[in-house]
Amino acid sequence: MSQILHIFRKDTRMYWMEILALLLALSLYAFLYPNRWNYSPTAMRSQYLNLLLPQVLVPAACWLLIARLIHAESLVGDRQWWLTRPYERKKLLAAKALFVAAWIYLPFVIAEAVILKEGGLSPLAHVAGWFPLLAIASAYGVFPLIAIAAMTSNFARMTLALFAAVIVWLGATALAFMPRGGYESAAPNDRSMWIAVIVIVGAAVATLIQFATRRVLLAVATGAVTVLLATGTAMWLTATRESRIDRAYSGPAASHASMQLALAPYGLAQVKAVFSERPDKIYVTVPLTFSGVPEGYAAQVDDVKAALDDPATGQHWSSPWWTSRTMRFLPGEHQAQVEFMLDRNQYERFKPSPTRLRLALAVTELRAGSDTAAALAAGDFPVRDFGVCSGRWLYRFPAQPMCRISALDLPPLTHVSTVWSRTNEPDAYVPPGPITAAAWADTSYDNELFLRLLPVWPVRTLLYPHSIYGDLNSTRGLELAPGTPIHFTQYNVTRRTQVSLTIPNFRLPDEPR
Amino acid sequence: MNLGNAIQTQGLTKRFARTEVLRGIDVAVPEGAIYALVGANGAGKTTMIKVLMNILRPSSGRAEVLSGDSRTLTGARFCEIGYVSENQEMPDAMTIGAMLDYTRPFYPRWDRALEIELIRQFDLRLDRKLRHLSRGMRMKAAFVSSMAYRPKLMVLDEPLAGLDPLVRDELIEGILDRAEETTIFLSSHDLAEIESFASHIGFMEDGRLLFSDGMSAIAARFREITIALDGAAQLSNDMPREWLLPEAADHMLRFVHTAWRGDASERDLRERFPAARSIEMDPMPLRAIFLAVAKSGRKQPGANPPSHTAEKESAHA
Repeated sequence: MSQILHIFRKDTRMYWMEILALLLALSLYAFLYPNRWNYSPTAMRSQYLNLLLPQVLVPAACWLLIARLIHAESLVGDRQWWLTRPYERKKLLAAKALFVAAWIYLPFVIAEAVILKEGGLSPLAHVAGWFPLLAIASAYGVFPLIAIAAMTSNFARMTLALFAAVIVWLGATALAFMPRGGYESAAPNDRSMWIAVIVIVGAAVATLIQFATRRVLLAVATGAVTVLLATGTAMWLTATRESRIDRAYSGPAASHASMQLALAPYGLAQVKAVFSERPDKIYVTVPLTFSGVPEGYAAQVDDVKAALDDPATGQHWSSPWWTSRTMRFLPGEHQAQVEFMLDRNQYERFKPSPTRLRLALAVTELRAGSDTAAALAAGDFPVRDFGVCSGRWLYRFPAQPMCRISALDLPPLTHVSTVWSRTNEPDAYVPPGPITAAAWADTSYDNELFLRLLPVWPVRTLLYPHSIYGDLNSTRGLELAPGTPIHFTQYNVTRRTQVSLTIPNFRLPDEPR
Repeated sequence: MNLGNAIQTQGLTKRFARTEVLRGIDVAVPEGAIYALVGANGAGKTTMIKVLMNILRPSSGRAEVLSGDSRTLTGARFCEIGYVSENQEMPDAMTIGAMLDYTRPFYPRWDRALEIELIRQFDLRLDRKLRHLSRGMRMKAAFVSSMAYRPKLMVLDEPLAGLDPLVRDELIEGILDRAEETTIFLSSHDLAEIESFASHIGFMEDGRLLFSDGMSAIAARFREITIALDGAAQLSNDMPREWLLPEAADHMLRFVHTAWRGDASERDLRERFPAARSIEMDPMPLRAIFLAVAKSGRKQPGANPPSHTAEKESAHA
């Protein structure tokens, strides 16, 4: 133990400047990150730095510190002073691990805890939530950096190796996602954590090999196998994504009324086609109606799959599962603008004659759970089992509570609703009956692994009576006064299923806009 | 393996890809000896030392250091070994004082008084950073950090190379001061710098140990023989292996006798050359011995010139 502490103290003394750089970057991150929900002109100006810090400066400071730490007793080469000194290899590794824990993980956790605290959320409320967060930081930062440092003799070589690894990784990712041709899916992809596990295990094994045996070739081979395995897994996950979505969304039909999709009145006349940001892709929007969600339930459309058949020519085209935006429906009949994407040349092929369009929606059915009412306040107000919200006005929008939820304990999908009050302004016309407003607190971007490193997620909920006022500027005669109850209803996943519709005489618009 | 040897190797071989850098080295370094491993640059001395220190793993063969397999030389076993190398990377960001402060707790037998004495002897300034030191001062700092715990074995790889005479003398004095309690194994490509104090010498060339023995034994065993004959001198095919570099010119036959046994060898020569007008048997300086052995090895590639394992001999005999 004394040797571990002795080496740890030496490293701390020698690399205090690098430690300080990391602590400064983390402090700045903890100081600036709350601007993501504190909307003020000054805060808005720091948004760029706010993104730069966690994405660039903190990782760069980590990189420098880890390089210095591991290369202090470099494991590559045959001229190092420490090789002929009474170092116990296990203790050397333990000393380095202690350093990483004390000067990288602990400050990172403290910075994250400070941000949580600043957001009004408790860092200790969900202790288990720290593990995935630290696992992601380890998989996509700390562990690979340590492994690369252990396999290189100095900072320059480590930098080259790191760039090579990043290039390989980017190439592998492009290769892995190429088969999907730009089609992104919003369906849950729990197995993406497999890649993180492979990277952590591979990097740990390569590091252990270096510390135990200093056999560089063996360690590099382990690193290469890890990259190949991670790439292969990513490619396999992509290749099997379609069948896994098919399987995941094959839930049994509900015993109660089933969900239905129908063409909206005059729907065929209102089909739109627009160019996407990529000139070779065209978005086609079909106006539909979605109905049949049972009482006490909600439906969330995660992905859309489209297929076109031309009976005249026998041509067929189908898309992978794809999402452009998440749609959610409560009981009742709702308009749904269902969108699919196809290549320009496919569009031109099917445009001349009527085709048969088959649309399938991957739908997650959710059941209403706990309902929490909180009184709207001008400042922060906590919402049980959800997070902390603030009733501050934003620009000219009068009712956009900005809420913060903890990444350590993400709440289920939450529906936020309220009733506006009348102000009795003499000239204002307000329709009779309760003026309700509702919005979904959207946390659907939890598939993004990197976002899991950010401890507080700002969630915007626009509580505007859309059904009455199309114009956001016009709320005359209405107000959302402090004290107004806001309801937060949580919806839990019950099953995943598919809802489909076939349109026999579908025509693509002549010219996309 | 023999007891009483600080270092002993058997058939030690090291290959880098297809290049064989050490070719079946057999050497024994008696405890208490000052053993100098001599050879030209590239002979394999540094590789041999790195294998002994477990910095490199042998391809085949075996090496024992302080009665333990060199491949297991790690951790606490280095408390008994001091290693200094001319091309060693030091913790350059540290001052000499910080380096000594850091090194000290690793060694239970660290002698603070000896450290202070060595610092004074080598005239070291503790507040100087290692990266700012001259080559000589760096070597002195490395010596202090490797001597202050009174190691049983000091392994020095070209410790005196490139140093000015003053520093060299200081370091040699430092080495000799420790010689009574330590076995010293050092390498050098310069015979002149070690012949004054080495008790044993091994000579390496092209990955082979051409010979290895005590200094006095070597001096006694080698003779330069010059035989004056009546008729023309001729080289025959049945010359003994111990005769190196035989030359015949006019009436003279010259060679280096590598197994000289005094009167017995002289009798053998007179019996072999009964018509010799004269036989001169001159002792050879160390330099001439090395040159002869080296030239002999080069003339017969693949052949192993006579190799002799150092006999047990007191370091101060």
